[in-house]
Amino acid sequence: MSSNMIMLKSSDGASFEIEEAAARKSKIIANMIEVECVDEDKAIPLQNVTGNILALVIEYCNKHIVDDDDDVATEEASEEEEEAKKKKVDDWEAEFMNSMSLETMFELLLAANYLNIKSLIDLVCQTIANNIKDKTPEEVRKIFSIENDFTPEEEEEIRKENAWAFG
Amino acid sequence: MGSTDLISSLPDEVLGKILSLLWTNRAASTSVLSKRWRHLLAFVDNLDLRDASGDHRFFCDFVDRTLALLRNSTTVKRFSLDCAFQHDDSRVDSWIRTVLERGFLELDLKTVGLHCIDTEFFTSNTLVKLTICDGFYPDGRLPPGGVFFPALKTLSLVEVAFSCPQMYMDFIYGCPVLEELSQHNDDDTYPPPWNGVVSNPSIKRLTIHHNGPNHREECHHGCWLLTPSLGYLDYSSYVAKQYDVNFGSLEEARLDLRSWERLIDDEDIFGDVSNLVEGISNVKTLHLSSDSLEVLHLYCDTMPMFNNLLTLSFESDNEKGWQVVPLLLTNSPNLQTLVIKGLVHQVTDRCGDFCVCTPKRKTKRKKMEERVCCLSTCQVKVLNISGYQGTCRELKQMRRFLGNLKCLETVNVSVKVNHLEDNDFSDRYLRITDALMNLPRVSSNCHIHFF
Repeated sequence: MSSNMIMLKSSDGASFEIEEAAARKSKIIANMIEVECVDEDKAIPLQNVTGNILALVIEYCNKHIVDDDDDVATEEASEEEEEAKKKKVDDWEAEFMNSMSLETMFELLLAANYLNIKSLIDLVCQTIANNIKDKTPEEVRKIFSIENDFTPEEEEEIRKENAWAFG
Repeated sequence: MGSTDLISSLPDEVLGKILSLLWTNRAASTSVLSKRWRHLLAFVDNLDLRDASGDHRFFCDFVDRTLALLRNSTTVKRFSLDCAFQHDDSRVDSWIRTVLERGFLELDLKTVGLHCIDTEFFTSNTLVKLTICDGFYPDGRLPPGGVFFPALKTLSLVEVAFSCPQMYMDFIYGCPVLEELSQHNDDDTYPPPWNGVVSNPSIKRLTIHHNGPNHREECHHGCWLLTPSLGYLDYSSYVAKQYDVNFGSLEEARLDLRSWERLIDDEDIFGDVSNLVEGISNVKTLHLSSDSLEVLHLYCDTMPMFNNLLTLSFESDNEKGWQVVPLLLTNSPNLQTLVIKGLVHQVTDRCGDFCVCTPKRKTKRKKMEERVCCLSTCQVKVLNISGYQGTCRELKQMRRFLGNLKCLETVNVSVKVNHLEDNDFSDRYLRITDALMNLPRVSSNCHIHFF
């Protein structure tokens, strides 16, 4: 089954060819295709996404377009097959997220947010949340290089306000 | 690791999204990170509040303050409250009311203590998903018009002790677009919280796990499932005396029916699942527990035809027999897929020609061999076997399947070898798979896969 290919152009001028079905994972691009009648020969310019990040976005979309297709046929699949399939996707996603630096992760999140790709936003947010979930505020500051701009008195005040959370 | 603070430059709503994925105490503790993070809790879409995950003495203050902070929030959708400690009832009530009035979509309530929810105000036009567990129970006057949740799609009731059966029925009836109802009653300490009735015209998915062996009198009485839109049923319970069901166009059923005989040695107990089985006879997919096989054998007077059944799966247990399986197979003329979780079952002389259990008397055996084997008329194309250990009896069983199922195309076998015997592991695995591959197959198109 052949499908339409479309071109995407990153902010630094790199062009990428992608299946339309994969690109439609982005609500912004889907909207451009539907409403603005994209010219088939012309690349869609994405001003807020650099080439290296766009490559990651496309890698993600290509991987998940297949999974969405499979979902249609789930009724026939047995529980074990479902589980195996889900594990495969989970493993791929874990590997995908593991392979990038924090800096790249934030850029990817901004791109996913701009392109409105819900499942990718969820994936990156979950990965960041996992980084935070069992850390003290001091540890979180260190991981993400967050500078504490409170005075000790202000900090004490906030801790008091949230006494339950810090208990 | 980079030295610039990139995370703080993410937009508010994205940071709110990240905080929504944390327990709310963790999310709240990020307010101390820097001024950028001070008020980000206002952007969460989810509050996950477990009093025991912080200093519970300050829990009420925190919830009061957070709900006030989120007063104008357009993002917050879910409120989950899990109390391991007793709190001031009026404050808990005020939280629930606030959540219901503010247009939340999802509400989870759980407490170890008893807490009566005032039904007169337990109503919301926006709530889509509601879960009530343990100590929370609705009681009081009905809300206006008797409608609790006009938009509610999913309702889960776990150990909820309704004050009376009527309140339970009013509650279910007061959710006019409900699609999914799930209820679990496992606790024996309460009087039976469910009277065996579910009546609702819109429910599509119904899950009932009802385990109250100490309340035999009440539970055993009867079961009425009047849900004409139902597509999926998951029913796990001791057998009732009678069933009255209306399942409309059921597609899939999962039954775990248990017999009282296994529990109590009492001659008086009997049950009748004929109506229940008749009610599910249009399903395309049927899953049966090993107990269910026994119950269908003992308590189902007439076995209906399963003309739509494409997939049958059942579990085995070495204390329960397969007596009912030949009949099920004969009555399922369009069966495509047969899934058997474990081949080892109790040896009986009633499994007929489906399996390898052999009757003790020789004359009887001879008679059986002359009859047409139920497997040879069976249309099954796919056979999935899990937990295969390669014993002699299992191999004989497989020989019977492969030698009689004429339409078989795919056989998937999940081999279970004890990993502790590491040295022998691959040897044994190979012996088991080889033995299976060498079995004669009546279908020339049959492929065996191992996983």
